[in-house]
Amino acid sequence: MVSLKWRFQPKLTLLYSVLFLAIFLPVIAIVQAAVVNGVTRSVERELDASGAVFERLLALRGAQLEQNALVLSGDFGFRAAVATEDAATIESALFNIIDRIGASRGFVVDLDGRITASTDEWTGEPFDYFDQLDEAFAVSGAAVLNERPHILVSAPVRTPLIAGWVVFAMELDAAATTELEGLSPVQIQARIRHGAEAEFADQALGQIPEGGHHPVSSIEMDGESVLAHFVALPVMETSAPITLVLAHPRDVAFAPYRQMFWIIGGLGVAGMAILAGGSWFLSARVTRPLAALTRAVDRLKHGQRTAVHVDSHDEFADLADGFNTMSEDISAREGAMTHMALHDAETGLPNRRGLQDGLSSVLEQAERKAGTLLLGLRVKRFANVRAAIGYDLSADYLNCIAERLRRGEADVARLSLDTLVALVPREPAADLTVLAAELHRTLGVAVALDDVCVDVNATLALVEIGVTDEGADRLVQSLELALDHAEAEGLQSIVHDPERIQDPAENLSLMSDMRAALEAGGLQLHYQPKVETRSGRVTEVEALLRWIDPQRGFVPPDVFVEMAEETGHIIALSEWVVEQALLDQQRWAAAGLDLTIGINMSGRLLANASFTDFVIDAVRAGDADPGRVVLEITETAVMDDPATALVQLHRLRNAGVSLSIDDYGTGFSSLSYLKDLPVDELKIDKSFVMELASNEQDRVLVRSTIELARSLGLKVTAEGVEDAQTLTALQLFGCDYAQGYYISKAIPADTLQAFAHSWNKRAGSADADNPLLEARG
Amino acid sequence: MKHLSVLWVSLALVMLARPVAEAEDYSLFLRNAQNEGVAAALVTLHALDVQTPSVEPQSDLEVRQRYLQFDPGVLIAPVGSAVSFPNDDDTGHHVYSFSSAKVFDLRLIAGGQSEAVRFDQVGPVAIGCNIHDNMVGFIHVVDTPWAVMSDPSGLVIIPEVPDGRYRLQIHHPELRGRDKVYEAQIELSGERVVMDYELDLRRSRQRRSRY
Repeated sequence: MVSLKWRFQPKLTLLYSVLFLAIFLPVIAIVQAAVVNGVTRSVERELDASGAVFERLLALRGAQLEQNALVLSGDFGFRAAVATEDAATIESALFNIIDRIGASRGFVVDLDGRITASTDEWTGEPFDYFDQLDEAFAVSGAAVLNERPHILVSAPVRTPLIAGWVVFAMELDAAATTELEGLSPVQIQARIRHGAEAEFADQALGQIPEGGHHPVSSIEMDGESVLAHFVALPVMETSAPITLVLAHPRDVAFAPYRQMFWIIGGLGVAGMAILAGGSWFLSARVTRPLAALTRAVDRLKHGQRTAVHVDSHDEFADLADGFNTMSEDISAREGAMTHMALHDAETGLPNRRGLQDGLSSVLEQAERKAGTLLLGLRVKRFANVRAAIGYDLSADYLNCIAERLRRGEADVARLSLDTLVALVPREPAADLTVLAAELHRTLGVAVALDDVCVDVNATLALVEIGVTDEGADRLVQSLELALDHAEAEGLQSIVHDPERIQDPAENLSLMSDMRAALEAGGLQLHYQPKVETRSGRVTEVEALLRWIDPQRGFVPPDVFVEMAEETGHIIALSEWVVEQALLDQQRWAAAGLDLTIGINMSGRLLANASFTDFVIDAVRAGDADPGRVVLEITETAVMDDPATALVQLHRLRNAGVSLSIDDYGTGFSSLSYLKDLPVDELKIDKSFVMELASNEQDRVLVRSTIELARSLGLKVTAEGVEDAQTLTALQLFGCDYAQGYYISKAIPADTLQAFAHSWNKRAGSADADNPLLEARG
Repeated sequence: MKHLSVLWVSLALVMLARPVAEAEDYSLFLRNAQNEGVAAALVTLHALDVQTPSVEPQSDLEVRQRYLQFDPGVLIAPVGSAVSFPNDDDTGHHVYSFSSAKVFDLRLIAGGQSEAVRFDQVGPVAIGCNIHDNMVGFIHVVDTPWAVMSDPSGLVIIPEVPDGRYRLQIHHPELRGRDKVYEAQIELSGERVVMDYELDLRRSRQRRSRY
C-alpha cells in the first residue's frame, strides 16, 4: 500500500505548489509591469528633457552662428569683396569667422544660387537650399548638406542691394552629441540620424512629425538594448529629415531594480521550496499513519495479530487506538472461539476436535507415536449419574476422573458425553490386556465430590498407536468401536483388535454392494410354505430375502435389512421385493398354483404414503386378487406412530391388500390396538411355538391367543413348527396355518412349485383327518 | 535664371482719339504677378533708327539724407551730372556705391555737410549707407530724355515720343537676374495704346530663421 503515498502526497504537494504559483506569478508580473512602466516613464521624462535641452542647445548655437553671419555680412570690407567678387578675400574672411565661432564651414551664394566662395572646394556648385534663400531675406535651420546633418544659418550681403548670401554651417557630428551627453544628468547616448537613416530609425514608429516626440521604445543600438527617444529636429523645408535619437541603456535603467527582482525571485523559489517541502512533509504525516493502518488491516485480514503504532496525538492516533482495541478484541474472541471449538464447555477438557488435533501432533512425532497408547474410558449410565448429582457435580466428577488419567502427563479429552480419552505413555514390555485391567482397577475407585461419593463404573479400552498408518480419525473411531464392543460383550476392559471387532465403516460398502446386487440380480426371494391345517395343503408362502455376496458369502437378512433401514435403502429394497413376489405369484398362477404371498413390511415404511401408493398400484396392476398379497407388519412398528400407521394400513386394507401381524407376542402388545388394526391375520412368534409340545405354559398362551384371534375374526398362523406334535396341537387348538422347518425351510421360487405339487398331492391322498402327520410319518 | 516674360495683355484698353502728331506720349502700366502696380521702376527708351536726343548734364541735382532715408529715393540724372549729398540728419552717413556705373565712397558725411559726385557713366547706381543698412537709394544715370519713373500705381507716361523703333528698358531692383533690367524692342506708330507689362519680381523677402 505504498502506492497511497504516491497518490496522495504528490497530489497535495502539487496542488499547493500550483496555488502558490497562481498567486505569486501574477504578483511578480504586476510588479514587473509596474517597474517597467515606471522606469520607462522616468527614462522618457529624462530623455524628453534631454531632447528639449538639445533643441535649445542647437537653437543657441544657431543663433550664435547667425549673429556672426549677420556681423560678417554687414562688414564694409566684406561687402566690397562680395561686390567686387574678390573670392580670395571672401574665403579668407570665411575661414577667419568659422575658426572664431566654431562653425564647420562657410560660403557665399550669389543671386543665381551658385556658390561663389567657400571654405570647402565647393565654388561654382549650386547651393541646395537656394530657392529658400532666394525667397527669403535669410534662412536658417537644420539641414542635410553634402550628405551630412548641419545647422545652417545665412545672412544677406547688401551692396546695398542684396548681392548674395553668406552661409555658415555647423556639422552635427559626434562632438555636438557628446556635448549634449555631457549635459544630461543621466547617462544617455545621443545620435543624429538623417535622411533615410532618420526615417529608418524605427520603421515601426513611422515618420516622426517635426517637433513631435515619440514615446520611448526599446530598440537595439550599437549592439546594445536601449530605451530610445526620438526627436525630429526642425529642418529646412526641402531638407531630408534629421532625427535626434536619445538612448538610455536598459541595463542602466533597470539596474536599481535588478537586485529587487533577484530578491523577489529568490523569495519565490524559497517560498516554493518551503511550501512544497512543507506540504510533502505534512502529507507524509497523514499518509504514514494511513499506510501503517492499511498494512495492519491487511495483516488482520490474513488473520495475523497486529497493532499499529502512531506517534502523533491527533485523529490518526485515535484511529490507531481504536484499531488496536478492535484487533485485540477480535484476537480475544477468536481465541475464545478456538478454545470453544476445541474444548468441552462443561469440563473445559479438549473435545473430540481438540483430541484429534493433539493426536495428530503426536502422530507426526515418530518417537512419541511408538510410546503412546490411546485410552478410552466410558462411564456407564452417565446420563443417570448426571441426573442424580446434577450438571455441576457431574462435570466435577468427570474432571476428577480426567485428573486421574492425566497422571503421567497424559493428554485428556472428552470424546463424547460419557467418554474420556487420554494419551498415556506405554511401557514397552507390558502386556496390554493386563495393563488395561490394571488401569480399569486404578481408575475405578469411587470419586468423592463435596459430601457425595460417586462410583466410577466404566468401560475401558486401549488402542495401540503406530501399529498401522491409521490417522487420528480412525484411531478414535477404533477406540469407540472397542468400547462399543466391550459394552456389548459386557467386558470391563478391552484392547482393540481389528481382527475381532468389525468395522461399521464396512457397512457403508455393504449398502453400495447391496444396491449393486439389487440391480444385478444378486438378491433372491426364497419362500417358506405355509400349510393350511384344515386341508393340509400349501396355500400360502412367506417371501424371505436371500443375498449371497461373491466376497462376503451369505449375508444375514437381519444385518443388511437393518442397515438398509438405517441408510434409507429400505424403500428400493422393499419395492423390489414386492415386484419380485408378484412376478413369482403370477408365474405360479400360470402353472396352476394359486398361492397367497406374505411379504414382510419394514416398520419404517408404515408411515410412508408413497410406498403405500406403490404397493396399491403394483397389486392392482396384476391379475391376481389383491387379497392374495399379505403385508406382514410387527406390533412394535405400529406402536411407534400409531395414528399415521393406521391411516396407511386402512388405505392398504381398503385397496384389498391383506394385513398380518408378525411376531405376535414378542412386543408389548396392546389388545386395544389389536382391536383398531385393520388386520386379517395373526402370526404367533416362533418362540411360543418351538417348545409347544413340551411346555405347558406355551400351550396355554398359544391356545388362548388362537381363541382370542378367532373370536376377533382373525386367522392365525403359527411359526416355528418343528415337529409333528406341535402341528397336531395347533390343529387341535384351531390354528389356521402352520409354518416351520417341520414343513419346509424357505426355498427358491422354482423349487417351491415342485415342493407344493408333491406336498399337496400327498395331502390329497392321505387321511383327511390328519394328512400332515400321515405325510411326515 | 528664369526668363522674363512679358504679356501683352490687351492691345486697346483705352482708345484715345487724338490727332496724329509729331510726338505723342507713350504710356505703360507695370504690374507684378499679383496684379499690383509696380512703383519706382525706371523706364527708358532709346531710339534705334534715329539718334536719340542728347541730354544736358545738370548741376543742381541732390540726394539728401534725412530721417535716415535718401531723398529722393530714386533720382534720374542725365549723364555727366554732378549730384550733391547733403546730410540733413544729426548722425553721420557713409554713403557708398559698388555699382559699376559709379563706385564711390563718401565716408562719414557729418550732419549739415554735403559732398558732390559726378556721374559720367550711364547706368543704375545703387547707393547705400554703410552705417544704416536700411538706407538704399538709386541714381539712374541716363543718356536719353525718355526716362520716367513709375508712379505708385505702376503707371508710366513718357511724354513726346515720336513714332519709330525703340529699345525699351525697365529697371527695378527687385527684377530677377543679375542686371535687374528688362529690355525689349518696341515700335511706335499711329495710335498709342497703354502697354501693360507684368514684371517678374522677387517677392518681398521675409526673414526666415529658426534662430
